[in-house]
Amino acid sequence: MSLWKNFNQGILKENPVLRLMIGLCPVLAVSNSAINALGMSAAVAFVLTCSNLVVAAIRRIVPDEIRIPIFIIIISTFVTISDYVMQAFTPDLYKALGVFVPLIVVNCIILGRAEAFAYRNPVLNSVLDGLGMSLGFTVALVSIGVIREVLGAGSVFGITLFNPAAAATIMILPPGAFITIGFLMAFLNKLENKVQ
Amino acid sequence: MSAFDISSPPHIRSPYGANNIMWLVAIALLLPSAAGVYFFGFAGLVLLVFTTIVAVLTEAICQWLAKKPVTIGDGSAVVTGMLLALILPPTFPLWMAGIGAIFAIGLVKVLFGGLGFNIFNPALAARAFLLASWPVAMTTWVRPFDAITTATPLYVVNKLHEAGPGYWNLFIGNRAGSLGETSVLAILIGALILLAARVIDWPAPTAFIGSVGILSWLLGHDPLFAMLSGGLILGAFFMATDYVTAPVTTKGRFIFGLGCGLMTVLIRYFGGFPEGVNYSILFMNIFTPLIDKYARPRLFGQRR
Amino acid sequence: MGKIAKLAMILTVFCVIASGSLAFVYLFTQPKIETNAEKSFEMSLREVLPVAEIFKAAKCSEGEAYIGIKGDKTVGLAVSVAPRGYSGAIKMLVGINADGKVIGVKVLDQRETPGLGANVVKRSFLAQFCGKTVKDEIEPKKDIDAITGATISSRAVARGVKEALKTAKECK
Repeated sequence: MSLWKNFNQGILKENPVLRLMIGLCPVLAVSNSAINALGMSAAVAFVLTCSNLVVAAIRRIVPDEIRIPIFIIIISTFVTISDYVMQAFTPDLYKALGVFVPLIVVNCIILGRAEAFAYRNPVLNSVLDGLGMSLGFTVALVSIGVIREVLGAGSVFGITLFNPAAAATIMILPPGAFITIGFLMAFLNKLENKVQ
Repeated sequence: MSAFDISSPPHIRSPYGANNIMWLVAIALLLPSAAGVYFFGFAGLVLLVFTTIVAVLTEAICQWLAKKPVTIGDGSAVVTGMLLALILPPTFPLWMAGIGAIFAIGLVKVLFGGLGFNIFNPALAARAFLLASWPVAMTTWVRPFDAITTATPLYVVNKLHEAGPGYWNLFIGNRAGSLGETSVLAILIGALILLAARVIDWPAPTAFIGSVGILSWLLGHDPLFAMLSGGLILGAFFMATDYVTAPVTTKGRFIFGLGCGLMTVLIRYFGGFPEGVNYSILFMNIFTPLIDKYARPRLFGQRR
Repeated sequence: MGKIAKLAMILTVFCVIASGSLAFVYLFTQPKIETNAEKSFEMSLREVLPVAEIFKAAKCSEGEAYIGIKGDKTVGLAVSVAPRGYSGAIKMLVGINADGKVIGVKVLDQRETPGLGANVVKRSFLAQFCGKTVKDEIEPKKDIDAITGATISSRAVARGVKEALKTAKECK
């Protein structure tokens, strides 16, 4: 039961983006199309799950004093691996995401989960927490990406829905990210108020 | 209504309440509106009426949804709707203008707390939104009377370095541009009414227009053309004097106008856009609380 | 002292493991990354200069260009230019044939406004430059139709083509 909860809570209840509001930098920057959002989510999911796994596995041999530098080494290793792999196998996506792949290193979600969860919990729970948080991140990022792409470019996952000239370009520009994320947060808050 | 009106400071005495002020502004706006309809025809009238209706309806619906008293009678939504139409190209598609009006009232005004709490001038913020959304439609200008597509005088002079129309045409409004910004004459008459009724005062417009003129002259541009072209006169009298988004003190308003003028000149001559009045006022809106803080008059007996 | 030495040891061990695994991944991905970059650049070269079979870096007094060769004769030049657009440089390749005529233009990288300036990558816009020579004016709103609402980006591309034509004269 508690394993399920570890996985489950990151999706909506403690959604990293829309509830905890961490890791917003890549969310705002690369959510201008659904495909970019999905690519970014995949990279973050890989790094988050792997780093949670390793941090949980080594938590007993890591002295308290140097845990943060060690977390950073682990995280940056996985970020660099995903960076190389994307560059090699999905060069177009890599070009679209640009500097935001290396910047996953400083994404608060990953260091936050390592410090707050993986360092204190067994491997399996930590992996599930990583997967759940990744899924929550993916849900948030992809919904923002889909909304922005539909309204701002008239397409979804690159498939044209209506004449792009009629689409509101502002939605795929930075202001569109803020407007969309604001409305999604408001919607989630409203939903929670109703449930309570 | 309670027996006493409880409001936050500053408590400035005025012969009018908020309702009367807004309706007076709306009446003054009828002059540039009439000039716009005269020069750009029936389409301009349709645009004007449409954005006004959408703005008022949006406010009513938002307030009804939030279960708050519906205050469309205060006329502020009418003013926003009219102002928005006046700063749009006359042949702008109606549905886009409608979205602009919804954005102005719904996002910029109601979400920030309604009249008195919005940080930005709703009509100007909506124009910025529309310019970023549909840049092609927002930069398609037509000539007066025959509605043939052309460029605005500011664009012709600043970006193409060719001769613009004469001063007289600029003054009466016989040139391409937004629906209500072209006729300096009509705007000035409307502004004079508001000045005479003490609804607006002189510091912000004077500082704004004056600094644009002087800075243009210093930079080697034609100061008279700089003052007569674009949306400067409309922006200076009807937007830089906004009660909510501009400073409250005379000194503050003067600083506000100077800042607007400086930004306008920077954008016009050094920026990518031909006109900068819109962004300069929005930019200075951000500084309004700061200006209010530092330009507060000293209380009698208070030490520095 | 002993404590610090121990911490340093642990940290060192982690760093070594991390570098080792990274070196391993690098070894596997690097050849692929390099061929990707080469392939996409060569594809772009072919796109702007389809007549050429192989490309060789050219010697230019300024700028960067590639000589297109078919059989044993030079059939043209692909010049790389990066004019300043509305927001940052627009990296592009201009293919020029042996008669000094533009035969292909491709935008490799740009950061122009989406939906507006970014439309300069469109074929319909870039095709207008084909057939231009160093003698042509190449000026948006004159002999080139600018992208509506994106005069600055259109001008930048036109400037790039002009620059490429000028560079091409001084390349061997």
